[in-house]
Amino acid sequence: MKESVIEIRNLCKSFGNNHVLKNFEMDLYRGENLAVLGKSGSGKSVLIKCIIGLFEFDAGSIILLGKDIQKFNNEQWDHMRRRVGFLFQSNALYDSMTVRENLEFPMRRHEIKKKKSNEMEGLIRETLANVGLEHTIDMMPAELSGGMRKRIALARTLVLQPEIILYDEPTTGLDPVTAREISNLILEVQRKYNSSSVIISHDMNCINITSNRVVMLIDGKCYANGTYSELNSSQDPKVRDFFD
Amino acid sequence: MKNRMIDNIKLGGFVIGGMIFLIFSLYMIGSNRNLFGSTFTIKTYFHNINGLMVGNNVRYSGIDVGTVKKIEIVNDSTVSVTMLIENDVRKFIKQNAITSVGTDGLMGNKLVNINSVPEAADPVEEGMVLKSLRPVETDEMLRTLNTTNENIAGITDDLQKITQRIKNSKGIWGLLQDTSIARNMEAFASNLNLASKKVVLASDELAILVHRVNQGNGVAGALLTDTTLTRKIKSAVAHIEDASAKTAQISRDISEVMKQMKKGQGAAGAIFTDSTTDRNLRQSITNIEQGTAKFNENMEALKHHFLFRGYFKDQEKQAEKDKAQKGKTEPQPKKP
Amino acid sequence: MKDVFNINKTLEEVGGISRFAARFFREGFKPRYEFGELIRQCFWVGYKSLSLVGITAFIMGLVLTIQSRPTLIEFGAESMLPNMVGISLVREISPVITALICAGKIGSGMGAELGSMRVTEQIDAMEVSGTNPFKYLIVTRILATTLMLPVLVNLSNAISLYGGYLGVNIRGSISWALYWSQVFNALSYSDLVPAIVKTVFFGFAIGLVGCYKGYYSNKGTEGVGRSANSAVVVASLLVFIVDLIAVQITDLLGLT
Repeated sequence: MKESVIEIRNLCKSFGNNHVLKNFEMDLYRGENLAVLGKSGSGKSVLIKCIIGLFEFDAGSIILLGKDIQKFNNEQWDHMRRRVGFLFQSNALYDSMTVRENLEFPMRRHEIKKKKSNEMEGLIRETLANVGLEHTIDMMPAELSGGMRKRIALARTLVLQPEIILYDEPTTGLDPVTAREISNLILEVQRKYNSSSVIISHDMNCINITSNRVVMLIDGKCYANGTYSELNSSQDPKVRDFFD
Repeated sequence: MKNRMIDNIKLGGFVIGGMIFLIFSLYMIGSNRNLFGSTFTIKTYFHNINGLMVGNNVRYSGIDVGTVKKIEIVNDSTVSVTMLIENDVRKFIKQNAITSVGTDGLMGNKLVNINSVPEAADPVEEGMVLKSLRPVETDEMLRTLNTTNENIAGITDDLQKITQRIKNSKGIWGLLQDTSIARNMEAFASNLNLASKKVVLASDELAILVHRVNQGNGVAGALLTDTTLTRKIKSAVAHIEDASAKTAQISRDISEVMKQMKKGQGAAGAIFTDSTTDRNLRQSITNIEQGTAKFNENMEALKHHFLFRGYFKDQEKQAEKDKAQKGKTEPQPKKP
Repeated sequence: MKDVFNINKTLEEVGGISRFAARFFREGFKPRYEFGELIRQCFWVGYKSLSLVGITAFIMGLVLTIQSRPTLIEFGAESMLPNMVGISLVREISPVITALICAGKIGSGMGAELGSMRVTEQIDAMEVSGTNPFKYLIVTRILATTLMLPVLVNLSNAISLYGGYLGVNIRGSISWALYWSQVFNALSYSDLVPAIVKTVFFGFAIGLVGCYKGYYSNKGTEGVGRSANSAVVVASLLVFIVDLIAVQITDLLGLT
C-alpha cells in the first residue's frame, strides 16, 4: 500500500572525526509528512542535505524516487531537483531579486522554462496566492517580515510543483503565532500539492501539527519511529527529553 | 523588465564608449594623424638650430600655434625643420614670414618664432618653405663687440694724432677765429664728453658684470663659467678701458686747446685757414660719433641678450628703487 | 598578521585559487551559458564602477601633469609634458590605478556578496533549484571583470588624458588639437597593446580572487567581512604581481 519515495539505508557521514550519521535508516512514503526530530547539531540538516545532494555521504545508499543518487551526474541532478523541493532554514531568498524574480529563478532551468511568459506569470501568481502573499510580487525580500519571507521561500519551492519537499527547520526564528501559521501552511501544501515531505525540526508544536509520522535522530541513528502521539506516550528517557 | 532594458542600454553605451576610444587610440597611433582640427606642415631651413628638439613649440607673434615635427640635417651647413601648424592660423602666416630659433624665457625651451614682415604676401601653403633668420649667439655678439672696440681704439688713436697736430701747429688757430667752427668745436667737445662718459659708464657696467661673472653669482654667472667666453669679455673690457682712457686724454687735450683759444684769439685765425685739417677734424668727429653710436648699439644688443637680460633688469630695478626712494624722501623736507 | 607569514596557509591559498581557476576554465566553456546574468554582471562591474574610476583617473591625470611640470622645466623640456604624461598614463598609471580601484570596489563587493549568499544558503538554494551556482555566479562574474576591465581602462585613459590636458593648461597653454596630437605622436602600439592586454589579466585576477574568497566564505558575519577584506588585499597584491609578470614578458618580447 505504501509506496516509498525516499529510502535511506546505512547512511554514514562524518566531518573529520565527528561522525554525524552512523548507519541511519529511514523511509518516506508517498503523501505523508515525516518529521525528523533531533537536537541541534545531531545531523538533521546534514541528512536532508545529503538527500538533495548538497553533501556527499561516505557510505550507504539513498534511493530517491526509485533512483540511486550516488551515481547521479549533473544532468540527472537537475532533473531530480525539479521533483524535489528544499526549503532552507534561512529561506535563502535571492536578496538582489524581487519576489517575482525569485520565483522565476527555479523555472529558468527546467522544462517549465519552455512555457510562455504569461503562463509563467499565472503560475507565479497562483503559487503566491497559495501562500497568501500575492501582493508582494514586486517587492524585494528585504522589505518582507520573517514570516512572509518563509512563505515566499516556500512559494519558490512550490512553484516547480515538486513531489517531495524537504523542510529544514521551517519554524526556527519565528514567533509562536507565525510558526503555527507556517505549520498550518505546510499541512495545506501537503493537501493541495499532494506532496510528500520531510520536516526537520525541534519545534514540538510544529511537529505535532504537521507530521503524520516522526523519526527521532539521536547519535546518528534512527532512534525511534512512530506517530507523534505514540512517541509522546513512550517511556524512553531519551525520547521523553523532547516531549517534556 | 524595463529596468533591465535601461541597464542594458547603459551597459551598451559604456562598452561602446570604451571600444570607440580603444579603436580611436589605435587609429591615432597607427596613422599619427591629427583628427582634432586639421593641421598643416611648413618647412624652414636653419644654419644652426641651437638645440631645438622635436616637439618644441612654434609661435606666431608669440602665440603657440604648433610644434616642431621633424628635424633633419640636409647638409653640412643646413638643418631642415618641419613644423606642424594649426590650420586656423594659416591665413595669418604670410609666405614672406621669417622664422627664427628663440628661447622661452631666460632658461626655457627652445622654440621656433614665426614673425610677420610688413610687406603684403599670400598666406602660406602646405609644405611651403619659409625664410629663416640666423639665431643670435652670445659668441657672435661678443665678437662684434670686440671689433667695435678695436674700431673705437683706432679712431681715438687718429683723434689723438689730430689734436696733437692741432696743438703743435700754429696755423690751426686761424680756424678757431671762425665762430661757426668754434661753435662746432664746442658741440664736438660736448659730444666727445658725452661719448667718453658713455664709454666710461659702459665699461663700468661691463667691469661689474665681469666681476660678477668671475665670482660666479647670478644666473648669467653660472652660465658664463665657460672660460673662453669670459676671456673674450675680459679682452673686450680691456679694449673699452683702453679706448676710454684715450678718450679722456683727447678731451684733456681739447680743453687745453680751448683754453689756449680763449687766451689768444688773433693768433688762432691763421691756423684754421688750413682746410684739410678742418676736413680731417670733421671726418674724425663723424667717425667718433659713429663709433660711439655703434658701441651704444652693441650695448643695447647685449642688454637684450638673454644672458645679460637678468643683470640689466636688476640694474633697472635698482635704479627705479633709488628713484622711488628719492621720491619718497624728497617731499619730506617741504612739510615743516 | 600571522596569516601573512604562515607558509602553509599561503600555499594552501595559492593552491585553492589555482584549483578555482581551473574549475572556471572547465565549467566556463561548457554549454549552458548564462548570458543574461553575464550582461547584468557586466553592468554592475563596468557601468557602476565608471564614476569612481572616472574621478580617480581624472585626478590622476591632472596631478601627474602638475607634478611632472617642474622636473621637465628643469630639463628644459616643458613642451614634452603631453608626451610624458600620455606615455606614463597609458602604459602604467591608468591600468594599475583602475585595477586597484576595481580590486577595492569589485573585489570587496564580490567577496561580501558571494560570502553572504554562501552564509544565507543562497548558493545552496541555487544548486537545489537546478542552477549550477558556479556557472551562474562565478563564471559570469569572472568573465564580467575580465571583459569590463579593459573597457574601463580605456575610458580611464581617455578621462585621465583629459585631466592631463587641463593640467597642462593650468600653467602653460596648449591647444586641444596640439595636446592630442602630441600625446598620440608619443605613443606607439607597443605602449598601448601590452597595457590593454595586461588589463584583461588584471580583470581576471580581480574576479577570480573576489569570487574565490566569497564562494568559500566561512559561516557567519565575521566570515563575510573577512572574505571581503582578504579579497581586496589578495586582489590588489595579485594586480601588482600580474603587472610585474606583464612588464617582464613585454620586455622579453622586445615591446618596450
